[in-house]
Amino acid sequence: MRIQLFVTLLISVIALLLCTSSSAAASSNIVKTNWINNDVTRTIDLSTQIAKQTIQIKAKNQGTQSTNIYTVAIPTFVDGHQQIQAFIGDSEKKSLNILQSYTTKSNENQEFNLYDIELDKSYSKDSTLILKVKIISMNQVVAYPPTISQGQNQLVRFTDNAYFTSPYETESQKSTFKLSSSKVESYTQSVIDGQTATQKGQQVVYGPFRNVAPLAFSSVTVHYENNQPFLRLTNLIKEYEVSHWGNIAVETFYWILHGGAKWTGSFSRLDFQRNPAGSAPSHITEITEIVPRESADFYYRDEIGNISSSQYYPKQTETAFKIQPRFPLVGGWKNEFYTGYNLPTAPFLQKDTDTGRFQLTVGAGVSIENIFVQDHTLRFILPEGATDIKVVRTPFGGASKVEESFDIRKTFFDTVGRPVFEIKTEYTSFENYEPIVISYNLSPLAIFHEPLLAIGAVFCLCLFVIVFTRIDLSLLKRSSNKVARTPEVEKNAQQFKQLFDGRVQYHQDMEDAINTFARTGTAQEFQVAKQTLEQKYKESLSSTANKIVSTVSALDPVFSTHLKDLLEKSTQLQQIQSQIADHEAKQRSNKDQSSKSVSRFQYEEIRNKLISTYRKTFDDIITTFESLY
Amino acid sequence: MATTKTAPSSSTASSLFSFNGNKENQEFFLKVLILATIYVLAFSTRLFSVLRYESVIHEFDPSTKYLVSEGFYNFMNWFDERAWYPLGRIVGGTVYPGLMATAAAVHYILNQLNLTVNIRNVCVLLSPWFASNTAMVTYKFAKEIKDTQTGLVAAALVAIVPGYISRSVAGSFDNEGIAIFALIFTYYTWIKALNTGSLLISAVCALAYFYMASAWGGYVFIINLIPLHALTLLLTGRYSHRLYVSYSTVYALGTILSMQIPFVGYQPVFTSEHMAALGVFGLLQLFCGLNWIKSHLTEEAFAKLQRLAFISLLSIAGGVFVIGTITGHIAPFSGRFYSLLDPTYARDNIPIIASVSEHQPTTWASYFFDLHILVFLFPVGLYFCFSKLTDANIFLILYGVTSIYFSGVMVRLILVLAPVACVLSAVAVSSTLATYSQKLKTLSAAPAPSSSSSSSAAAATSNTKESSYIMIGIMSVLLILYTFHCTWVTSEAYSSPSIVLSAKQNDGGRIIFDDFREAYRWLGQNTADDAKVMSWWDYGYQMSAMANRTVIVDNNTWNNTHIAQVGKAFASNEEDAYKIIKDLDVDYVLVIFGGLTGYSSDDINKFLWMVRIGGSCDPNIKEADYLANGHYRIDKGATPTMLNSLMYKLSYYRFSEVSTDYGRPSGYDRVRNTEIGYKGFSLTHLEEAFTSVHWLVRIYKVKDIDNRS
Repeated sequence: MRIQLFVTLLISVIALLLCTSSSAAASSNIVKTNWINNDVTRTIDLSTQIAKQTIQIKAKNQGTQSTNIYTVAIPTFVDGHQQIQAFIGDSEKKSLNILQSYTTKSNENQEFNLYDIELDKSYSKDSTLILKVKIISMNQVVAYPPTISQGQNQLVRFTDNAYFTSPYETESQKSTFKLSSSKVESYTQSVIDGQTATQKGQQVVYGPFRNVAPLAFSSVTVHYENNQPFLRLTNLIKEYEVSHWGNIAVETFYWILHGGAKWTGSFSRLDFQRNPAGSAPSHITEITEIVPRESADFYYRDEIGNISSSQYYPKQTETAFKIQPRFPLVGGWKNEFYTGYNLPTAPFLQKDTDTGRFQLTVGAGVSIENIFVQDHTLRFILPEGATDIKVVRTPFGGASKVEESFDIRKTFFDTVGRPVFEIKTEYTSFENYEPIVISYNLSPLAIFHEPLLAIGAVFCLCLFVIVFTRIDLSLLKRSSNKVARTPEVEKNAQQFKQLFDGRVQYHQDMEDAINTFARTGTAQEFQVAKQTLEQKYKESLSSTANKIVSTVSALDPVFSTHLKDLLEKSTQLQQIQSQIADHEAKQRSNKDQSSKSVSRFQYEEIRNKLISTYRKTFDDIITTFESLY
Repeated sequence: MATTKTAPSSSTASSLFSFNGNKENQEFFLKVLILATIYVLAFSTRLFSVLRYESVIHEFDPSTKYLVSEGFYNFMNWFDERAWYPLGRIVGGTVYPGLMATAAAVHYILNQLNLTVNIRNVCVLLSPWFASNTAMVTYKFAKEIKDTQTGLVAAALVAIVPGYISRSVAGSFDNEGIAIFALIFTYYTWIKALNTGSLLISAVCALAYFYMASAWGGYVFIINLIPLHALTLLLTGRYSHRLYVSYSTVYALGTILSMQIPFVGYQPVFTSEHMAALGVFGLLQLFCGLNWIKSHLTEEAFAKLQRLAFISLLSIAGGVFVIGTITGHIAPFSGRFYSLLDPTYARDNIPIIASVSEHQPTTWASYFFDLHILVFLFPVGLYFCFSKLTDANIFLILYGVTSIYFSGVMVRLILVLAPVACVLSAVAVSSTLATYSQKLKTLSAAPAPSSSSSSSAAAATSNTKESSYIMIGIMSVLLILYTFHCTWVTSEAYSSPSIVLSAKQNDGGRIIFDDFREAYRWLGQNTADDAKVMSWWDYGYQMSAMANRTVIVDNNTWNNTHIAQVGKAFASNEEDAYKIIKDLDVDYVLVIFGGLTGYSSDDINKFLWMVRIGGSCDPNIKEADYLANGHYRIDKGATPTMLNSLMYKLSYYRFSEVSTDYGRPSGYDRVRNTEIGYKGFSLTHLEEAFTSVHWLVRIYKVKDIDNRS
């Protein structure tokens, strides 16, 4: 019983589900508006890897009430990597908002994605709308055969609806496929609506078709030669590092891939060098990126170092930045590298005078012709202290998925770190790289943060040095010559010390004596004083000290050399002192005779010289002596 | 105590005598200024390569990145399966980790300070920074040996000596770059420890030795030189307690510390290279012990004891050595060590050692090139050292003499000679300058007595004066010439990264060959992640670092037979080589070819070494088969074995269709200056996968085995 009940319940649920889904398919039109396309001209530019559709639509509101929504449809098999832009009239100035996308099925079970375009105004009943829709399709041109070898041309296939896909009825329409060459392998030639396709040079035309039903679908394929480089970025990271000192550093990381027919077999450099275009027609050797006119300080590197093959050419309104990858890219080859340059802040960073907020307006992608990006990341590294970061305007239409996130990065001169604002999206094409605008708050004082930090650091360092040099942390006053001595050496050392103390004392007393002599005394008095002193320190001046030194030298040669040195210097000192005394005496005798052979000036000069030598030797002795004991 | 009394009295005396109290400060300031200048100079003179090329590491060692990202413990346990395929390599146990650890530590500290310098720049600038530090340590070293003046001269000389610059320019991320700093620091602390007998400084010396052992295999030089010094002191009757304290501390601590390095391991107790240190250690203990016993015994009894002790000790030591060597507990002297003692040993026995150009014997020209005036000042310095023998001077003499011997054996050991040549020359320069400037000073200081003396004395003094001026002048000219020479050598010879080549064009412009990186980048981007690349071992490190691909052999040449396999593959013909290549599971083969550009150190010129090394493991590969009448040639006169070897074919594949020079036949090799001998051949098992723009690097893909076979 229970099981039966359960089964019936299940069946009824499934039936209900089927019912609703089939009703959705049957109604085929969940579009609430009711336009009729009077005339549609559709051109698809297939000369590059990107399929660029330009659709000129003349439509009339047939609904009962006025509306500001117009809906377009794209078959889902087209992979979903489209960018849609819409404009009123023929001008491409202001793009309209693309509101939402949802999926529906036609009666032939073909799935479609529907996109609502928000028009510039409300269109009343029976009023006419002139609309231009641009659809950029990024994965629709596919190499076929998928692999080629050296010397072969690249063939590609493009498959799409022969009709302009619309949820509305179309009175008259025509699709023109513009190819990159007239070498067409094949194109769908079956009769559609009584029309066959025609090829004229590089163009294949489907239509004109009359009175096409809503969501009419007829798949057509063009197979033709396209030797354009299929340069795409599987990943792109663009970083803007803003400094309010006047610089915006731009760094771009590229992961490039040649998405064309994969290369098989050998790559002969010889053949490639002889005839690059013939041996690898769709190869990439150079990439030109358009950067702002103000860009400066370019660099071009990868993770293994600098790449020297880049140039830049400033032009009237822009700068062409030409980079050559390390090796030529053929189908399926990839490479990674990064470039960077600096921008001044003035043209890109504005301050809103009303709110006090800063507004940064910079490019959202890389302006390389005919490329598209699969994973697109934009990073803004703002000055430390920036708050309330918001996106004001993005070029990525409402249809694409955009993720925003925040992070912190700590680098030079940072304390709390700089806010990093990151925007991630998918499948963007160079066709819709308009500037992105973000805004944030920053205190005007924040600009002084870095210099103050630098000044503070230097100041602290100086302060540390000042304090450190004045602190003596050692417990004992030690010096480098202080050495471990054996007891025997130590005994001798002490004996020597006693004797040498006497010598030092002698020198000092002599100094006093000379001073007295220089001031008042006579030569005789000085001689007497000298002899008294020599008598007084007889023992110290005797050769006992030399004996000690020779005893020590057998035990400890290094120490003995220091002692020997001391004795030598002391002898020198004695000589200098006697020289000074002699000099004084001579001056004195000159004075007495009043025949000045030596001028006063000369006398002073010599005297000063002698005294300074004396002083130096004396100090030397004291320091050596102190260091030993 | 007297000194404390003298200080105030001298200051009272200065009331009359004019006394310049600032002099000491001035001297200090001058010293600091000179040292600061040397510091900056030593750093900046090594930046030629960065300014001229870029901030790039010349000698790649991929492990630093790993250390930074994974930490020290993981690094020591790291098994690198991407090198030495299919063997792999235990990195922690086969490298001296000092360099990587230093770089990682610097990187860590800077990043902790929010200075986000990336690890590459740290590596690039590490060597110059350490060179600056070496200059400072050399100052201390020379100051410890002689005086401040000598220290300053030595620091200035070592800052720019080309022999050292060759291994420490910005970008040369080499063990030697930091090892020389560690070496000089160890020697400085050793001399200081010896002069003071301080236990603390001896311990610092042991730490310095540990750092050296962690950084470079050259630590063996230290562990032999210090014992040699100790032994010399002992034999010349200069034994002191200071020697005992410092040597015992340094040896015991240093050995235990050095054994903590996995790569060193038990070598200090097992191998013969370290036995001298142990022997001297024992001898010192014995000597000290005997001295102690002597003080307790009569002369006669002591003499008997002494004889007995010596004989028994010698026999025990000899016995231990013989038994140890036989049982293999004491490893016989390793190959590199033999090649140091006997220059011909390596050439005859170990081709892999002889194949490295920096292991070749040094020519006289390179002595002059790397040392310039130091060559002539070196003996002068020795003379001054001999004229006043001290413990430190004896060390300097020993260091100088041994290092000049070793540098004669191997070109790269000029690096060890360079600092001691600087110190010895500094001794010479400062002694000479001091002598003559002293003469000038005394002459001008005391003209009064000389004027009163006889005219002959006056003539003599004026003569001295002139000769002094001449000597000082000559010295200045020599030093200035030295400066110019060093700058020139640094800029011309030692500042080109091996990874980027440059040549001057006829119009004077510089053309850059960036082929290596072009090819490595291609390998890294456009081959499978697990592709195995075979090349000669010279390019192993570069490839694993730049291309991040598995390599068969690399610069860490620890497995001779594996390298011999690769050598054999290149030396065999394509069929045989294909078998070896398939056995090694190789996907790509890379050769360096200079025939188009004239780059002379390409694989064809290294080929004979591959043959020799390959032949060392497989007797079927004979060097004679590759030589035509004893001549190495690649033209029509070459032997068929040569012309059919894999190396020949890979280098010259389709080269015969190229015209290199006007008026020369096609396929004209610009390195060998001859037309190649075998043209128009094709490859069966390999296909050209990539060739760089100047054909310097050629990469071949190994085809799969045919289904039919």
